Amino acid sequence: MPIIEMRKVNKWFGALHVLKNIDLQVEKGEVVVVIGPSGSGKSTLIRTINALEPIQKGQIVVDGIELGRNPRQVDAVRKEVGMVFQSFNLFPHMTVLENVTLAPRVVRKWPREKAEKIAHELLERVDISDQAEKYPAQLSGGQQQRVAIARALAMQPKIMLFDEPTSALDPEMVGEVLDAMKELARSGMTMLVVTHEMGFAREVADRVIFMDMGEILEEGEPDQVFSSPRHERTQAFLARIIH
Amino acid sequence: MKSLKLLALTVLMLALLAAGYILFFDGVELALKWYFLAVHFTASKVPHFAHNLRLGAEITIKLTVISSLVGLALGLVAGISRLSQNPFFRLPAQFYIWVIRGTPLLVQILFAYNALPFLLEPLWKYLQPLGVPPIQDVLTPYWAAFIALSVNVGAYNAEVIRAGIQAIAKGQWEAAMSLGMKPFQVMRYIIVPQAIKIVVPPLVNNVIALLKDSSLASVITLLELVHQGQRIISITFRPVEVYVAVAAVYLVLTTVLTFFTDWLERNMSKSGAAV
Repeated sequence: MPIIEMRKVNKWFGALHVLKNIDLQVEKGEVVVVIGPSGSGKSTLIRTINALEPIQKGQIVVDGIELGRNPRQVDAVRKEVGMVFQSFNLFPHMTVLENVTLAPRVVRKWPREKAEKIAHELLERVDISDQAEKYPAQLSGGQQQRVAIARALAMQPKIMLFDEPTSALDPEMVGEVLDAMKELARSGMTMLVVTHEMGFAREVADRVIFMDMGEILEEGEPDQVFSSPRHERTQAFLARIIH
Repeated sequence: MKSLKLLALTVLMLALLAAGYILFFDGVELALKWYFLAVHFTASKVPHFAHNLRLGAEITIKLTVISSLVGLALGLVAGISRLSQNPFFRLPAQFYIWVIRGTPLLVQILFAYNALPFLLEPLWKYLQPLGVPPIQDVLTPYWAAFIALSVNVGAYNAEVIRAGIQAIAKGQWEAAMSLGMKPFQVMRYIIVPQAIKIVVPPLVNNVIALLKDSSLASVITLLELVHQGQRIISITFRPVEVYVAVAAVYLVLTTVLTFFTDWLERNMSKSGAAV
């Protein structure tokens, strides 16, 4: 059984039809990269999976829980799905350690010692353990994004969503964030990644999805999509971004 | 260990505050005595005048403090309700803010003192057998002024708090909700702590305005600063000297409040990084 299943998902922003009959299945442990031009609906797509964006038609089932109107189901899904944002969205009034331990303590009700122990392990894992007592504003963009990854992982999610995690970074910091994501992918995490980093997609993706104008136009293994794209709009898009 | 330290610190602060309060008003009374002697008021009456003005100033400050505390609670509830998706919370909050900000405070004070007893009388029929004193004894000028002022400042605080909450970036909500936090938890741990830094300066502005507006309670015979001054004028027929004294006491009170805010703002910007 797939861990994420989307059936005939439709979403409108007013009159704008941003997701059109999306069918998507993601298996446990799979790494799926979503590419496409801006405004194609790829961010909206992954934001529906943890109900940050409500849908108007269709069905989304995450880890056996159907995302309906019931807030309990939404809460249950959000506990299992971590998310990393383009703009980091760290909590600026808390230290790095507090950022990472807050949700485990108030949502999972872990005692402080347990939350901090796991937080330190995660900060070690994203190679930022020496910054635990600093505030986000004192860190570089790349460091902030790695903290954001640790913060999401602290809830011990089964799925991780990445919404253009490197797009707001200075070029020299992209690598350190991608390295953290690659390590996560190798550890067997189920990941859905919206990105323009084709190198990352080639290296770790099991599957690449190309979206344009709210539709999934093409999907396949990275080699196939990048080397011999079938759809002409995929070809045009790739020609524009691969130099 | 940490909480014990905090407790000790709080007790110490409160003791210092109480001592400071007494010293401050003793100082005010002494200064008024010198002033009234300097402007040649009848020497035998001067201690009496100075003491009465001091009592008025104390009522003014006490009324301001308790009204701003209750007004802060009202403002929090109304400000957050005003942003609720649920019309059962939003509409009453909107109505409250609309009515209070759209009517003069003077009318609200007169209403609380003269009209509220009539409105509450039916309720008192049930309460009085339980040993509650009659409504006229409960709604003294002081408590009527307290009700009017806290309800009034609460509406202005609500608008400040609403604006402060809305100033926090949407991404903070999204990040917190994506971690599985419920709206109440997002408010408590993420939004309110950040919004406080934004709202404290305008909230203290409201307190300073409240301190000055409390003078309107003189119309319902509350013996606050202005009314005490008026009584001295009716004895001495010296409005110039007395109103100068009254205004000076207000100025000292507002200046102290301003110093306190500046200190608070500096301390808050030290703890935690900028938003």
